[in-house]
Amino acid sequence: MNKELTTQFMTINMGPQHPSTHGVIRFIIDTDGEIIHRCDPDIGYLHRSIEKIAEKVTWQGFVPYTDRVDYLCAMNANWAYSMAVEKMIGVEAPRRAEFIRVIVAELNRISSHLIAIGTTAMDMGAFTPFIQLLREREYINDLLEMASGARLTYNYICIGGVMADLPLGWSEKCEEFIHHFDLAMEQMNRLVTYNQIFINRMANLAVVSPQMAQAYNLVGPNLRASGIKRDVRRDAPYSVYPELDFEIPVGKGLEGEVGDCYDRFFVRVEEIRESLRILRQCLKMIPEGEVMAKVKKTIKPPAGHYYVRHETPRGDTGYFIQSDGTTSPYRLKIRSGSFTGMSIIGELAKGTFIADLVAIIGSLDVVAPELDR
Amino acid sequence: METLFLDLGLPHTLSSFLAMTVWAVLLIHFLAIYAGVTSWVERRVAAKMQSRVGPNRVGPQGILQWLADGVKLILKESIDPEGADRFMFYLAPFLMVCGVFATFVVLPWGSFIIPADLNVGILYLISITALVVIGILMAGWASNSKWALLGGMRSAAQIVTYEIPVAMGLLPAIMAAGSLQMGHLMAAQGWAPWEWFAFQNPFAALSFFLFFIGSIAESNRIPFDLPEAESELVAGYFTEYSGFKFAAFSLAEFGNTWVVGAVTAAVFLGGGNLPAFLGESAILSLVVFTAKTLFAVFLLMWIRWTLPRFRIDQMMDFSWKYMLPLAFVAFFGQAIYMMLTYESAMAQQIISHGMFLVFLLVLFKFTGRVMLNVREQLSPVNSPASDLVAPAQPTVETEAQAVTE
Amino acid sequence: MNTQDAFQLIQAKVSAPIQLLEGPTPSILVRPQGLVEVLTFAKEDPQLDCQVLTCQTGSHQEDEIRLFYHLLSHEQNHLFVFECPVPLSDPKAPSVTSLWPAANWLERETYDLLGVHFEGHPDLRRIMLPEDWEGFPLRKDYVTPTSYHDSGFDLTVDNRPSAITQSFNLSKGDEKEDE
Repeated sequence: MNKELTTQFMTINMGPQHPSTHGVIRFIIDTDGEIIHRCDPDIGYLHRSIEKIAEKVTWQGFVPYTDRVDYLCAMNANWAYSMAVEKMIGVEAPRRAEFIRVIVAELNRISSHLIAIGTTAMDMGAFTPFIQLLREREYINDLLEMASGARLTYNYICIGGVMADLPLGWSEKCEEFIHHFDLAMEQMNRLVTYNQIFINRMANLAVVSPQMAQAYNLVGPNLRASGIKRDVRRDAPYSVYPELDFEIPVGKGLEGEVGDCYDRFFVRVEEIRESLRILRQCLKMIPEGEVMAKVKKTIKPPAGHYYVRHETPRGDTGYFIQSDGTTSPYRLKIRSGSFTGMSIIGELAKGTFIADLVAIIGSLDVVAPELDR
Repeated sequence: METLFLDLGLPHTLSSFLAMTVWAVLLIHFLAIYAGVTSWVERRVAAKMQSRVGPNRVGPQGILQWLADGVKLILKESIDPEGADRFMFYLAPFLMVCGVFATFVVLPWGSFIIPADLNVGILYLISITALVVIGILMAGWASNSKWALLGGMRSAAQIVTYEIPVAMGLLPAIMAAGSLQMGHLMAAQGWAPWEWFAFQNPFAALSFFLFFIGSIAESNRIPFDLPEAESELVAGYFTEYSGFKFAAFSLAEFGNTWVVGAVTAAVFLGGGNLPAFLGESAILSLVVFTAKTLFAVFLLMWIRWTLPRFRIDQMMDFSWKYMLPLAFVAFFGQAIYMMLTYESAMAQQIISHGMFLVFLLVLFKFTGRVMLNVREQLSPVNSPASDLVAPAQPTVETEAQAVTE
Repeated sequence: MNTQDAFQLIQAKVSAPIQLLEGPTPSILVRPQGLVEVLTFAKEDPQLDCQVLTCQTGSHQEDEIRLFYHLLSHEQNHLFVFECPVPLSDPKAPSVTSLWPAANWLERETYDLLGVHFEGHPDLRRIMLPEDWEGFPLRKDYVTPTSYHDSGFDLTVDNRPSAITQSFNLSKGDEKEDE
């Protein structure tokens, strides 16, 4: 009996169908009991070759596809692409259209953050907040449906403006919603954000230092949670954002270190508050007028490559577009926040529990369709 | 029950056997129906908390939903995973049901009806529930699935950990009553809330909390539902189960809520004791006892649908670092309290009344908090969804304005 | 700092030959041989201070694949574009994973879709497509396959089970009979 006892890591397939991978993602994890030794994200299950499709359709024809890139914030995706093409052909949207864009995009940002917060809470085992937040999101969907006619993939913001003006009485409904939502958000904070069990689960977990966040190219709330105050709406201002008064929340390490999961969660909660501020201002400032600029039916942007950055709920989304002067893009690449967010998970998950991996995925707000495109 | 058969002129052995059979049949039907109805109640309560409707189609208010679910589960194909240990795989759910059902032997039904008032009642109850752990561990191991194995392991660790605070939490009550027998435990308390053991003194209140929290952990419910954490382990130890075996797991899970509620009611909330002027009515006592039990079950549901889940190390910490020392505090505190107030019934009265007042204050505060939430919940005065008409006013026609080349 | 200034700064400090490209977005052209040297300088020079590789991609031109590196500085708040042409006959470029860990996945994606081999990459596998996929879809000469390997499943024909199409046709026929 001279045999030595040998142990080996247990390899577990987490996904592609798993309740908390939020879409079809697979994690191959080697665990020592419950502790993760290695985590290898395997993506691509939702690859729909949107970048290849872009090369086959016209410039306007690609707008509906941007809805599908990130369906949780389709308005922002529409806007990012439209803004890029407007910049290429030198068209400026009318002022009213810009305000409408800000309003619908911020509403969409709120609804996207609600999903992020709700799913994180659900992954922590609290199912009720998720449903409650989805209910609030339904109100936003109603508002956006009134404006655009769709509830998920809007195709509302188009090259040169927006498809249609806001319906009559929309602003009042929106203000009503903001008033209600303020209270609902307070309640949600009491239920989840300040819950001690929740804080214990999230605080000091998967700390991303500012250097690491930069090296791994984290963007948006994930980057700001690490204490770097960078927001495209401020750095490379577009539309009417320079006229608006809003704060950029950064992670302060409220319950632990700066850049932990709780900070990433809390930055989103704060961002919802700032979005509400922006909405209030916009509803007051919105002027009357046209909502569509004069755009030629056949767009042929000058040859060359462009890179346009846009702050979506998942952060700095870059549209790299190369034109060869024809009616469809020559090469289009969407640099999404989820993609780089996902690449850091393998590093963060080392040495954590399986339950923590779920929290990390939730806190990074990875959305599978945007990840795989 | 036995005397009933003896009166009919049957021999002693036969009447004893018949009494046991009747009890068993009654209880197992009660367990099945209770588990079914509770599953429906839980879904409705959860739906209410989440602004949903919940199952409301089968029967009035959907109350027959559990029958439909049960029929569906029984008719469903039973799938054995490849490489599973079939014997253990089949045995596990029934061991769990046995573990839960066996506790009903000593559970009282009011002050006057107890199937078997064993002199080691509460000890029997604590030990027999260990069968559930074996069932869970067996299910996790035999499924040949890594998620199930993790769930089983978590469960074993968790239940072993929380057995101790639960047992320690029951000790002060046993000391106060001076007996392990369920009937004596109930008889040691009075009918009025300030005579309940939970409000007898601060240490008793502490032991009540420890027991209740530990019981939540033992019945694998949020915030301690790690063995079946659906967002981490898919479904934990019963990931691979389907059909009737799955139904057996649900039966055990919901049956367990009654066990927790009944022990809470009997040991801490005065059992089925009635005030003297109501006489000795077995039915009324049963009603009182059932109401207390169901309230405790409702508390379990309330907690389940509110809180997030612990992580495994936090769950362990919570038991070993906080609950166990506190259980010792409660145990020794109760001993000292009993020693000091041994001869002064007056002091006992004052302390228990004071405790009840404190409880009322806390309840008042808490109700205020709940009402605030309810008011805010109702705040959408005129929700955008209520009158959704989208009078789209296309001021600009995209096509018409566009300049064609 | 704009791209012209950056170009002059790099030209003065780095020996590798670079070239300024005008256009809607000005960019700096670097040969693969000097790529790592130039990008290391851009990352470490305090004036350029490009701590973030925000985007790495490529595009198939006639006989070359042009790689694009978008470098961002959070401190200075500027963005530079570096271009690097690699020949289609021998698509090889040095990896910058050692400079920015973010390049790991971005380069894997470029390899997956455009077939550029990044030398020195720690884990160069396909990321979006299956491991056994043939060809690189974002190349302009890519021919869309009609079946997946030898599965015999022709993607160009209607593969719905005949029962579905039949019942659809039948119901149409029924309607006509009713009339």
